[in-house]
Amino acid sequence: MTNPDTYFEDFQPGDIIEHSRGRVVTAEHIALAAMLDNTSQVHCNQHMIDQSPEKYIGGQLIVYGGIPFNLCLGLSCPDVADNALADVVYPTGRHTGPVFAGDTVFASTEIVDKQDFAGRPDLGLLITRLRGHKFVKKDSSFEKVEVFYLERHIAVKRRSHYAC
Amino acid sequence: MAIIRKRKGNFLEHFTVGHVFQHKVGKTITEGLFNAFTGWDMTANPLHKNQRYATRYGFRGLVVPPGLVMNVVFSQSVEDISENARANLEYINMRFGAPVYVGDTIEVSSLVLGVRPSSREPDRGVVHVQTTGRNQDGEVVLTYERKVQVWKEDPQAEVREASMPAPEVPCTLLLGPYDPGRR
Repeated sequence: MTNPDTYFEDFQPGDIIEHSRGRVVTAEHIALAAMLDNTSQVHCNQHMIDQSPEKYIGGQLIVYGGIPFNLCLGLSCPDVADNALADVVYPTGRHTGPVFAGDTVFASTEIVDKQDFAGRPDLGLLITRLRGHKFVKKDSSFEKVEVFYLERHIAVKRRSHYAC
Repeated sequence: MAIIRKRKGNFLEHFTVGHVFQHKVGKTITEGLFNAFTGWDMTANPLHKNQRYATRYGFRGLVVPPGLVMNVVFSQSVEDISENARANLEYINMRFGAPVYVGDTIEVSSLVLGVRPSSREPDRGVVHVQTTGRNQDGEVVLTYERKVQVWKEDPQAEVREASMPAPEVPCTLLLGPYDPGRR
């Protein structure tokens, strides 16, 4: 049911995993924010932005931060979290750059440390840094721009206890 | 007969340290919301996709993924805290508690921990809150602090810097017990 190489034993502190997939954020972000009852106007009121674009980041509708937050978790999932039983704590997180409709979000995970999970010898605590980025066209090439940073502690199954 | 246009949300000068917002409405995690999100967010953990797997690991049913828990709790706080925000600055100490399932109802409150006017930009400042989401049994599903840059309604309004330490919110990660026979 899960990847054979994402058990706790498989991770090495210092490794950086560049998650293979990317996902474009389209105008769907407006529907997703609405579905969550997120009422903030900077995500959906185009006329408000048009009246004074200089006041708003990027001068356009900005994607609600929970969207890239969630996408980065999802993009990282098959590589670091499909054998997790829970995300435990995010000590700190920041939106380090804006995301707009049309941007494709990518993610990477840095393995920082591995710790025992108190009271659960079948699990380990994986200490990671999850970063999101996008590529912005600059002259004739693309510049990688970070959009999200999250310190993330995950409770991951140990192969010793779970793998067949 | 009057034309009425209500102010939505709060501006910097409306926040008082120590105030608790009991956010309006609440949110039941319907199957529709669960499907729409897990069909989009690229999560691959079978806890969110495969009921047989989820129950085998001691969960009551399909588990709502952490990103959706965060999104539901956060969004409930938007009208009171960040409807009039320019930028969300930081999440701090975001902890998960009870697992969330389809059919659960999440209600959210936020305690104002700090208000700080910008020293450079007179029309804005930073609000620091501690936001906590609970399920229908009162169990904490998520608690965190966040700092957000909020506009003033009146750029001339005087706002004094104030803060308080964040109280400890009891939040215990609940997992099914370890079963040595489980694979």
